[in-house]
Amino acid sequence: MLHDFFEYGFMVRGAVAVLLSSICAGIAGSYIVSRRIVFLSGGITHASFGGIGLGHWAGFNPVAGAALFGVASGLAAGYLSGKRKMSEDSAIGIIWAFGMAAGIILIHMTPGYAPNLMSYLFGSILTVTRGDLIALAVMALLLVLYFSLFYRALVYMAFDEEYARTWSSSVDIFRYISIALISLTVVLNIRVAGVILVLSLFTIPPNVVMLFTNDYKRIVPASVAVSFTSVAAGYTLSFYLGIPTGATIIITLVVIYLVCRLIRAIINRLGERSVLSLNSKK
Amino acid sequence: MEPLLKIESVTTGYESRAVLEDISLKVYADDFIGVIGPNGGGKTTLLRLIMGLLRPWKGSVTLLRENGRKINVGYMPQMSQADPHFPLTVTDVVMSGLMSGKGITGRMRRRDRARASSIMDEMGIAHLSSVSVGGLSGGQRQRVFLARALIGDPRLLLLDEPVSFTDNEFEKGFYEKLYEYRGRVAIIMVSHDLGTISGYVKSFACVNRTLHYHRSAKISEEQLRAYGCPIQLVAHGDVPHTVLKRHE
Repeated sequence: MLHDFFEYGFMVRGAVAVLLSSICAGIAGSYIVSRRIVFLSGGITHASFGGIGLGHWAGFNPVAGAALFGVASGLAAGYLSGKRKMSEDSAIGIIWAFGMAAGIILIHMTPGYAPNLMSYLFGSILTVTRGDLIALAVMALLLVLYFSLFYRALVYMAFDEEYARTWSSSVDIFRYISIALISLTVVLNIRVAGVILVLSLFTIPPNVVMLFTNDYKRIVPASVAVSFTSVAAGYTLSFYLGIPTGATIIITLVVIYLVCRLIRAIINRLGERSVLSLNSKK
Repeated sequence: MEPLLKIESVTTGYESRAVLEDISLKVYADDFIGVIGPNGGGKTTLLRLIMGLLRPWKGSVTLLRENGRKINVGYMPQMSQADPHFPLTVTDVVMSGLMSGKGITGRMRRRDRARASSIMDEMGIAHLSSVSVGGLSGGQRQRVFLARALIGDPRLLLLDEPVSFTDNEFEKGFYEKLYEYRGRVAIIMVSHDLGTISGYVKSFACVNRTLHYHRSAKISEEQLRAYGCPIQLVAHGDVPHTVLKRHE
């Protein structure tokens, strides 16, 4: 059976994509969830659809267009809210819808049929190219380097920005670099799960881990592990059941989250009971 | 004795609005100054100015240099600044007080960890070292932030409303703890509660756009009025003198 699986080149490329995507999702996702910038990341992802449209219309690589739109919108939202020019969620709401609208119009204006629309919205891991994989690998490497080299600075800046300004004059620079890297990461993973689904690929694994620990040092590697397990499971399942991969991965993630919540609830209940029995013995 | 901190005729504020005008202050090694004043009068701005978070438009702020580098300043900002839900352990938060001497990669060494555990011991939070800050009570969290301010062995300690959102018992313990540090580190503490802190501080600074320095822990309502510092209305209701003279 495993033989079937690896007989096809696209299946191997898909498997490599699963691994790289999990590393990206675990590292960037931990940051997104801990800083509570899930909505911002959602805005970035959807805005990048405008770039996909632009790529189709102007005839260049849609992923490059998406990366451009994603990073630009992330920085714009960061600037607007950082300068208090407008509330962050309003800024994101506008950017979100603008990107989607621009994408639809540009694709509509492109002559001929646009066959990839569904794959951009819901992902198509089986169509990843060698180029996509190289981009994902570079991204994963960048994230590992950035977050391990500046681990403490990044975490402390996220926790208490005002205090961080007393020991660093580059708080704003780091905020922009982080937003740019997160935007790029999310956008490159659109191939795997699509514009609409990719965000849960990033946000569910850290939420699973945070049921069991509240220590950032542990959340990151554990999220990578949860992400890899569930993406690999979803990927394999979709292959044997012949159903869409992106959607299967997300359903797998949600099921894992629910199971872990249940386990957490049982642990809590057992804990309470042992406390109660200790109290009654007193 | 040279002052640790010299503020000379400083005017500063936000955007184009001046919050502090022509203020001067000298702080010496054994000072314990209570900073009082009405809301919006510039108390927090004064601390941010000393920390370098805000630059003077006019005048100068000078920290003493020892062995070729500026003295360490410990800072405990107001409670509301940090993100209480960020998944970080108490030890990590305390160690962030060492970042100013570290550079951006913030590599922590064995002796940094040892220093963190000794300061957590001193603050009575050693048992919480691996707990997430999000799960702490208000009082516990304030002790963590005090530990963060003290871990770098500062010569000067700035505290901004350290006992707001905590209960009376914590408040008393917190002030007693600070009192132990009196003499080892100069302290500047912003507070609303003139009555309670008058038992601990050595002098007052009334901040209300301008700064009046009162070189005594006793201060009367008349003096406050003369300083243009309408604090007594907020701080101690109908019986100001009873409260203020408690420590005579």
